[in-house]
Amino acid sequence: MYDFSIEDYLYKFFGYRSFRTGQKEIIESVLAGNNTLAVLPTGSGKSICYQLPAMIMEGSILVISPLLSLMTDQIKEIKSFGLKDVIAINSMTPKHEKSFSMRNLQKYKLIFTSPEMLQNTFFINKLKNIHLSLFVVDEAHCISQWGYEFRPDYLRLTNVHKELESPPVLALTATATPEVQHDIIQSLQLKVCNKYIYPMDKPNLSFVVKKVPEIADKKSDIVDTLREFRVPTMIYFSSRKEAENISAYLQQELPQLRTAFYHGGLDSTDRLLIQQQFMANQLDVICCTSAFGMGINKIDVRLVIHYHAPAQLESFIQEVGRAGRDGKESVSLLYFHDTDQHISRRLIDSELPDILLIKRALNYVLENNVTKLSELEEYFLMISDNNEIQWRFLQYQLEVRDVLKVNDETINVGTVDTDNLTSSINESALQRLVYKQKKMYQMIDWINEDECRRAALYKHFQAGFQQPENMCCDYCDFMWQNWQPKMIDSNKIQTDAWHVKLASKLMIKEA
Amino acid sequence: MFQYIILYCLNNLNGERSVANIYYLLKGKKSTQTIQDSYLYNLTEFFGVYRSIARSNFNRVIDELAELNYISISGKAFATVNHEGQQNLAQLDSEFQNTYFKGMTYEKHAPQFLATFILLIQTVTNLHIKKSRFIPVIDNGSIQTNVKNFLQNKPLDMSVLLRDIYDDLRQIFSTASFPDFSIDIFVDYLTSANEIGLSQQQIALKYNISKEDVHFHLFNIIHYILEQMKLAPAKYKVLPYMSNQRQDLSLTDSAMVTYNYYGKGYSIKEIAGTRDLKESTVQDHIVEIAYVGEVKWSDHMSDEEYSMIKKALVQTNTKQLKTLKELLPDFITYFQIKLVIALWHKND
Repeated sequence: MYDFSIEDYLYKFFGYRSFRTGQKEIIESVLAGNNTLAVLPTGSGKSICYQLPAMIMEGSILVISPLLSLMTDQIKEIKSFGLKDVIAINSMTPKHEKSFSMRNLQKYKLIFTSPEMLQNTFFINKLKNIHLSLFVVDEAHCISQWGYEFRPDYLRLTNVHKELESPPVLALTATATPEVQHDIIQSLQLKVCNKYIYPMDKPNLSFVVKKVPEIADKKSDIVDTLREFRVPTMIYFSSRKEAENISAYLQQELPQLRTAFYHGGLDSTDRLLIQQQFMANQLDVICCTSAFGMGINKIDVRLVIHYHAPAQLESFIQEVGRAGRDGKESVSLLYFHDTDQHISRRLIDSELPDILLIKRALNYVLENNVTKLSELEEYFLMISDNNEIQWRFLQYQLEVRDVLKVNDETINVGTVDTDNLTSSINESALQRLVYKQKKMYQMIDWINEDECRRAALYKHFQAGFQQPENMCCDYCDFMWQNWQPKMIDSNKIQTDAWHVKLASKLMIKEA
Repeated sequence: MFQYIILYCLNNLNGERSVANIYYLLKGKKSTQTIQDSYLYNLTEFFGVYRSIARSNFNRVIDELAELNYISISGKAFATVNHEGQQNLAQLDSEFQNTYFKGMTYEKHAPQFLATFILLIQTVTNLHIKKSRFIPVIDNGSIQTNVKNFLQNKPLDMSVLLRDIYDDLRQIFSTASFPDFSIDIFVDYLTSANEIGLSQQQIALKYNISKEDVHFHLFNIIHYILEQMKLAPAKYKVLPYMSNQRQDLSLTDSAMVTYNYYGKGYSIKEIAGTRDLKESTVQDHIVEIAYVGEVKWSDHMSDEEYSMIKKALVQTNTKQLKTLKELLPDFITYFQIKLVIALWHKND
């Protein structure tokens, strides 16, 4: 069918000689024009599965991705490979750029966009006018009510896909229980679909859970561990403040280690610098929130520490998946204190609006005769302390109840009784809360489980797991003294005069 | 340095303006009021030097200064510098007397120049080691185009280019005396193929200063470089080609339009009529223009009126309009007073 083998294309465009597990089968299915569902573990090169087809297939490929940061990281990476025909069209794109790229859509091989952009009728019409060879749904678990990151706006994809005359679909995700897989295919109404499900367990990873009697034990134990094992390390936190604090603490206690923090609150240049320092081994330890790591392709992270337990197993699996992408022995270490449950609980609660907030928002609509969506959005973000997750929830609830018309972004309460509406939306919020809590208890149960951690972790997602290559877990056989990773060479602290540093950075010899 | 700059500004404002005015000054707010004030109180050097500053960070420093008892804040948020503050200011003066800010001239250009310079170093060092795949640390399309254009117009060997940049920087740094660490901070911030630069947050930690201080250290150097490129371009090999300066007048957009009409000889009344503006708005534009462009007082008042206003200015040594207005006869307008202040200021 093609003059070159797809391996030739892989080498030509990406410089790799061979495919990683799953990539080839998935790409072949896509190139043959089939609907495809692919569950590939984190760090196994999911994006190649549509980037390569984009280089081979006629027309353009539309990629729907839920997170802005994920999109920009990807585009940067693609451009660094020398492919320039990519564009991201989302709410962050400046207006004039947006209108230019929308007018020239056919120019681009890869068009990244966000689900909320797909409400834009102008954009949809432009998409109708170009030849779309593939419809990619990235992080496809977001479409499932049972997915841990359910995003109501993903449900719109079904209609948009139809409107665009149903081009072949590629749905990609790293974590999906069989239940979620089923839900993805159902929601997208794919009658025929090739499924490629790859096991998500990583045989090079060992699991350790440490329950601590005092919260302060966490940081002292981290210091002890890092003093002994000087390896590229990520430490995950559930709060920005805590990530900053522990980063400062480590800098003070372990000055020989190069530590920094990273979270969504840094400005974009600082974020880029920290990421690249970590990639270039100028940093040993990074204290971060879940904002870090997506799109980061560092292969030799040896230790992933969780200072707090994530709110569900899926996030945990994603985050530990950033360790040992090179296949070498790596360790996941999770700390747990009894009060951590409350932190997870608060996190979950903060994602859903309570009944008073819902009521206030609806009353505002009624009393001020609000008809524009943007007006309500502004008001809601103000009263909810800029809580966008809650806003997305409310927006979707209004939409499914026909109070909100998405295409022209208008609200029409009409004859609806706001009390009924409030309690019905609240009902949905509570259901979601119960579901999230169930997920949280699954995570906590895993921590408290009295059996092999590997078995207990993966049983929710797949039947069985691969034989671990090294130590398995703290229940089975893990002992720190048996872990012998390659340590980072100790580096001397630079105290050179500025002109010496300058010459070194500019790569010249001083005269 | 941030604390010093705020104290300096407050001192110049002499309790006649609220602290928020300094915030707008640093942000470079394009309003007639902010632009005029920066001339009135001799603060043009700091106009727009920190366009990205967050209100909360600004307020934090104000609170710190109040806590140190360096400043007192009145009910209307007008601040005066206390005795302790004066002493501190004198002390800091010796440390920071060599600042080279020229905000009114470079406020727009400086951030672009810094970003272009950072990306250029990253690009050239990468090309030097034959690495064409790297992730740019500056994520801005127009800056990336700048660098591309520069490299196309200067088809030099990369090692020659790097040597020239090095020589230029040494030459520049030898002609100025920057505050302690300034140059170290600048070098730490650079990203090259063999070493990613420190983030501003990390630099703040390393030198035990605030993140805002880091910004001022960096931009002090950038303003100086830009000024040198203008004054003595022949002394440098590469940098002048990077800075392609477009001299633009610091006027609000609306004042710019008025300026065009005014230059063609239209009267205030005519301009107000065609533009559907109030006459007082156009008058404000004229005052704005007077600071940077050509305005003759004789078009707007008699010799007698002019000398009366001037006399009042000298006698009271204040720039508070209300005080001056009360002192002068009723037929003298606010517009006339403002215009004389502006012109007097320029000839200073």
